[in-house]
Amino acid sequence: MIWWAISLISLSTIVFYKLFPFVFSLILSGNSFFSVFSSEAFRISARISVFWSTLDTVLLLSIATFLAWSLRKKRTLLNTLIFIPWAVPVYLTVMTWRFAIYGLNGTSLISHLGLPTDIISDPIAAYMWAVVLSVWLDLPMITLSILHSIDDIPNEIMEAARIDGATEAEIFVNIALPKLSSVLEGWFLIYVVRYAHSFTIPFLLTGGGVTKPNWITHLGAIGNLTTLGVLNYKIFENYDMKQMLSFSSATYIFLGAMISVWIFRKRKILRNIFLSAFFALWFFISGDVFSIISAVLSFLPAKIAFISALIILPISKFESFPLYFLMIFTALLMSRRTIRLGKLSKFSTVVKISIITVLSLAAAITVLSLMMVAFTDYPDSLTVSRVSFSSIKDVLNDGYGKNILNSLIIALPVMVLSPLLSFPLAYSISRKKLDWMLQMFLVLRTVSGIHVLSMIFAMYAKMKMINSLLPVSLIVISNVIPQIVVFIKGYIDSIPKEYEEAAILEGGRSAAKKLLMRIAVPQISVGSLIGFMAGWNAFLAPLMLLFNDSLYPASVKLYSYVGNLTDLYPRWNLFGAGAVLNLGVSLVVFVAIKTLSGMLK
Amino acid sequence: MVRFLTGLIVLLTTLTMPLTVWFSWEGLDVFKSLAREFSKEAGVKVNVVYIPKNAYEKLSIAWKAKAGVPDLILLKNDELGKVSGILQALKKPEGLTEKSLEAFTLNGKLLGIPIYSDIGGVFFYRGNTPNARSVEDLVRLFKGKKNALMIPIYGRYYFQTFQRAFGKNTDLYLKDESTEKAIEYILWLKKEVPYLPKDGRSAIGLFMRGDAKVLMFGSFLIPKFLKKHVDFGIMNPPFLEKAKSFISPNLDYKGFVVVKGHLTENVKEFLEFVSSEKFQEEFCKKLYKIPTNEKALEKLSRNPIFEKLEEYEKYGKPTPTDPNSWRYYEAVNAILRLMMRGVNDPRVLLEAGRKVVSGK
Repeated sequence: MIWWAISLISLSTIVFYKLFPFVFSLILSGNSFFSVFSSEAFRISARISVFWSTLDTVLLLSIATFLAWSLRKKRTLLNTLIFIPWAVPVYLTVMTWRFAIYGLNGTSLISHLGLPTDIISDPIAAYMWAVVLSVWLDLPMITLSILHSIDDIPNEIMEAARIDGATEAEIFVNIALPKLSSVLEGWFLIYVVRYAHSFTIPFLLTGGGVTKPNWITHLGAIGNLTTLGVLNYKIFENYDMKQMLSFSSATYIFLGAMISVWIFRKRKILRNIFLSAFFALWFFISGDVFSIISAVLSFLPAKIAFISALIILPISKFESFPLYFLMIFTALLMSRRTIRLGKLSKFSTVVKISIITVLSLAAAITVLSLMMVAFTDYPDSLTVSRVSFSSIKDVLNDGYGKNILNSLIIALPVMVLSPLLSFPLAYSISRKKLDWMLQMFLVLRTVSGIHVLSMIFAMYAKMKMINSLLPVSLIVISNVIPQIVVFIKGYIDSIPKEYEEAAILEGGRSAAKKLLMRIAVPQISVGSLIGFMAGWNAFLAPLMLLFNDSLYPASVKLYSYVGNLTDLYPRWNLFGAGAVLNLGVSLVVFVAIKTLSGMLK
Repeated sequence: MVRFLTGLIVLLTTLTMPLTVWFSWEGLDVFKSLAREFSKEAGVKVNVVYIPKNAYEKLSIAWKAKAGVPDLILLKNDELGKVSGILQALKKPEGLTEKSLEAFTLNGKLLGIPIYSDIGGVFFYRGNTPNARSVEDLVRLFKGKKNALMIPIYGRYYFQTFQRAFGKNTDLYLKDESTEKAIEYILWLKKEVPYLPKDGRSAIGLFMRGDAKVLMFGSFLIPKFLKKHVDFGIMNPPFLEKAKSFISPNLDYKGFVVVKGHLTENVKEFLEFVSSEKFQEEFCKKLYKIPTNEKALEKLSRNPIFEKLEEYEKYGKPTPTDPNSWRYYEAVNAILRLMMRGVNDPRVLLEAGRKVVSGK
């Protein structure tokens, strides 16, 4: 009974923070969200978002697949290459990179490598670096997921191909890729939606990108990286409640329409209906006639649709929708026809070496830049003339200890409550075969972002819960429960039912559940660790819901040191020193939980 | 009896309730120590909360949510317009400069007590005193020397400086000739000195490292220069040859406002304290702010740095106190971002600005 109650609480938490804000927002804003679809700012931002998300996703999946395949037998190297983007919080990495790229008036660590650095006024430089960072930071998770799928491909087929004289590249193209196509298609649809409302990278790195004359709207300048996430934050900063809720509701609906294609991906007719419905919505938003053509094409056989999209793309001057459409059908069309690569095989070695070099360089730049800003004796210095610890002292004198304490206050409830709330739910999903719930979590998580936080902000304002730490923890708990549920469920699936049945015979259902919990102590500890890290690194929720410096967690305090791209007086030294302390505390907690879990085991 | 008891309870609550003050910008430590002095003298605890950014936005939300509204908030005069509806009109205090009081007056009502102002100045290295009287002289002097001259032409506050030099009055519309001339002037500067900084940090960083020889920036930097032993001087307010006028820097006033329903005796006493000669002299002396108290200003003027700042103050004008100033800044931002991107046609830039200002 208690387990069911806890499962219900977990589910309610997720629904309360991911779905209810939308309903609340609709009630408060009425149908004003409808006019948002035709507003100039939303239209431009939606176009930018779709193009950005499609490009990012394609690059991410291509590189991750290639990397997973090429380094599948060199896991230590692979893990080393993806360690930094996995271990350092995104907001820290992005701000560190901002220093590494732009430096002082464009003279920086990166400019010494001869690369463009003017992310303030050069649209191509801003876009390029945002894409590079975005792909790099998401690489670990996707690479590991694809690696897992590669492991599932029967080795015998590949061995047979090798005996027949196929090269590694040919095996990859003709055997691995078709087997991976459904996984890649799924990730493609999920990531396209996720990137469409990206915030952290486009905003922290470029402040929303570089504008142009026809992107000036009554809401101000829209930059080439003003995604829907950035636009919603810009609207949020005006604190006009009605406008904020209208824009966030419109964004939620737009992303919901996009994700519906994923939900129905396995039901061809439904998928195509939703795809064309989405294109129709797009036609309403943008007036883009190509979206209507794309809607019609959705119903044609995949090959014809693919070829038509190829033709439309240059005619539409590479508009976002034909590109998005083309990608969907490329994924569907992964042909089983054998492709001979011949000398191209050698080319793959060059690509492999290039990717490894870039990844190593990226990790080195992150560490080097962070150390540079943290341990130099002069503000904004590019060359380390003398190692100094004065910034560490300065940041502690600035009350950073209190901010660390706030981070702990946010993280501790998440660390304790998340696994406790997740375990019973994971058990129910596993044993009652409720896998559709995991899909629901994924959908709700994918469509959530800054716009949902705006809605929560409005909700909290009504409930007088703004500017307080515990409500922030609750949001983080709602974010992290699905992750921990998926993790623990995987483990429970692997426990034979017979163990449980034997325990029931011995001591009843409660004894069986206790036994299960005892067996799963290491998994629960990892769940605690996931919870702690999520609370510790929480950035967006506290950024939007806390006002006072004395309540800021370390993450927001660090952001306040350097602010926006064009802020007047960023204090990089304090940022660097604070970031090092932040990473130090995470490391200590990581080791402590691991040790404790070992002892409990 | 009931009335007496109620009165007593109200009086006791007023006396024992701490004042909550939201403080922003530089000088938190100095302010806290002065607030402690006030607490000792008046017997009222002052709870100082630091708000790093946009306190007016947070105030607006706290008011709407009826959660954690402070008694007093330090705001810039150009932020008043957005929260004027929830601010208490105040009595005009004695001894403060007229210019500063005007900056905190909206629709005939005094909405805040001005405490100090920052101002834009031109800084140089002492060993490298530029032989220049005008901005054009500086351009000629440093032409072709990379990163030597740091004029933050893309900062929205400096846009107003140029606008006013070309005769702009206080309105926020962008239709007049002076705005067009200011845009042309900034475009000229951009052409003549192609390395001009696109962000404030670069300008400050390059000056503090000694790479840049001249920096036009806010006086709030002075304590930082002194702390880092930068041997700097302040130029006389430069002339703009093309405008046939001196630059007119922004007087960036900050003052305390009171939320409606919070004007208690303690708050009144606190406002008297922060407008006093003693408080202003002590606070502004340490932070190189221009006090609004006339006597404090007179005393501090004997210091050579303050003497120079006062010269700038003579030409300076307050940032506009207008409910629509945020729209104007948004428009200026759009113009400057386009300029940075390489749009050099004043008509296109003006059109973009007007579109944002009109909100249509």
